[in-house]
Amino acid sequence: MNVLLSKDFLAGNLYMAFGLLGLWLGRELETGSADAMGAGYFPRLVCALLIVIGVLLAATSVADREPLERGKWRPFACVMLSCFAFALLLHPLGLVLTLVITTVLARLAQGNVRVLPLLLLCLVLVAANVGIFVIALRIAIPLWPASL
Amino acid sequence: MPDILSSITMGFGVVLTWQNIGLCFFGCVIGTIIGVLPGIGPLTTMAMILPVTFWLSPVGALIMLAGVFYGAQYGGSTTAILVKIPGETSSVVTVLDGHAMAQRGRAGPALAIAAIGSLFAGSVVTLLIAVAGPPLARIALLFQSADYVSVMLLGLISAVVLAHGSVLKAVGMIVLGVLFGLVGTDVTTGEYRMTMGLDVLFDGVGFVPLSMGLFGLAEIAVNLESTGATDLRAKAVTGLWPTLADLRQSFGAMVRGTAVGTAFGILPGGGPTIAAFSAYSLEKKVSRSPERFGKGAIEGVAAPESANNAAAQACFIPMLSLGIPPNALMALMIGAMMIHGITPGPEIISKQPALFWGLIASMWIGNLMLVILNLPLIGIWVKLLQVPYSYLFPSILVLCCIGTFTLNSSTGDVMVMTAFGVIGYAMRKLDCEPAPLLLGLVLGPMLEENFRRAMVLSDGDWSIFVRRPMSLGFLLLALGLLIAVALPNIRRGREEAFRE
Repeated sequence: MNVLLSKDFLAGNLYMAFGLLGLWLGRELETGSADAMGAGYFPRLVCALLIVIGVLLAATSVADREPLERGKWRPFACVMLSCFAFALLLHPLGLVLTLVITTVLARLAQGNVRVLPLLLLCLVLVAANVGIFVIALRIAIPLWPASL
Repeated sequence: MPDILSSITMGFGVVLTWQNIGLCFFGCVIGTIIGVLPGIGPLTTMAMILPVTFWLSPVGALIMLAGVFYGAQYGGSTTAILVKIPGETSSVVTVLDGHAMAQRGRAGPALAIAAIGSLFAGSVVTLLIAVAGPPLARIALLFQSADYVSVMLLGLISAVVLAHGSVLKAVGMIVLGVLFGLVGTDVTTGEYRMTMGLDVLFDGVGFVPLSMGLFGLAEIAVNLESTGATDLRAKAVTGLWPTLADLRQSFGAMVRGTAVGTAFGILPGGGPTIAAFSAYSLEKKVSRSPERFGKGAIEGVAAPESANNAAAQACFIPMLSLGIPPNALMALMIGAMMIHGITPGPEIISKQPALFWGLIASMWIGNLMLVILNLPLIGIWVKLLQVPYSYLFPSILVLCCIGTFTLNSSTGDVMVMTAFGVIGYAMRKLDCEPAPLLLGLVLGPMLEENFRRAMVLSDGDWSIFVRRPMSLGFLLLALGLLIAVALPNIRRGREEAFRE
């Protein structure tokens, strides 16, 4: 098996990447000294610790490796896309259409889609969410596209 | 003592309004529903309804969220016993003897004992919080910054020790959580830190988008990968009431289960799941006839069910009296308090007595409601299992999106949620458990603030942490724990405890 694809090795790299990203994003913060810490002191400490842990994890993965099992792209892609679509479409399209699109995209994560139950699900979800959030809680969300 | 009595009376006064009773009931119903449904845990659900609680009073919000949490412990056992599917991880051990009892036609007594055990544990622990909370808070008021830093480190380290899987990975997840907690405006200098210039991150990584992404979205994506068809038909429940012999047999188990559960609940990093496992193995050890276990021993239901409920409530003790969450769920409760502008800490009991005592009183009332909800209405909950996941998961996703959006009316938050969904999915694939991250996220800013203050007070002298006796005590405890996990035979024991 390829060492580079073991779970521990990848996890170690993920930690290192986040640690490095943190250091880079906070590169302009002032460190200061222990008795007068700047905004960057503690974050740098945390990032350094994270990188050390990542290195240790990746280094020890050589001895004890468990391969990464393949995920399925369809559920993952559909779940994330449906939420992404919600964020992207809510303002131009309004709540009703966005909910329908989100629901349909989400449902596509599983196979065996039948049209009628899906339409029914959309209807129920739109009614329930408009009822709870717009009518009962009176949250200002546009219901329809702005140009209508 | 009269002091406590009058306080409890005040607590009941707070709960016994139509609104708060209603919220408690609502929380318990939601808790039962998600407890019954496998695949959605209390953490995800509490994160999902967190935005809705924004419109409630702070007491009402906490009462409802707490109801969801302990309600899930009741619901989880129902399906464990009837259809061999534990609705929650904390009910996994209940399957062993509970389902065996059901197969021998004794589902009724098993369910009843589970509910009675939970009620017993719930009542005992509620009393314990009332008695132990205020004195503990008084001790905590003596804490200085250095002590706080050390007690938080102790908490984080024992969270690692009790998490399952690799210790190093769990430490990494906590540190990563602390790092995410630092994003946003620095409270001391007012500078923006690591925000990538995105305005959604100026106030920090939102608690709700992060937990919904890590727990909700990622969990759904992983759940959808396994499409195992299961037979969910439950046998009819006949004869609900346990015999006198059943009660006599399980009473000791309930007491021991409650004790074990309380200990694991208070312990940072503990929680209902590990409490239930430990109570079950303890029961097997002290039993005069351990061979009956796994074949329908009633103690095997009573002990873990008492333990998981005791733990679910006992973890409120450090959260309410010290302001330090012992596990991810309590971190979420702290998040809820902060949304309502309440600063968690030992001052809560004296400054917000209505909140503290109201919450405690609501737990007792909630436990009573749950027994009523769970026993006579059992048929309804089992029917819930027949709702296909293909309807359930799009509904959950939609609720996650709209819930996150309403918190700040910001679609940016929904983007953040989606990003954490992707991160959470990767973590699950790499066997990195995300719960410690949430603990780190909440404790991170508190840790930094106290660390800074301690270092200013000591003029940059690091020895402050070992010079204060309280702080030194916590650090030594933490060190002891770390050494203990490293020892080979304890490590083996820990692995066994999780495998059972």
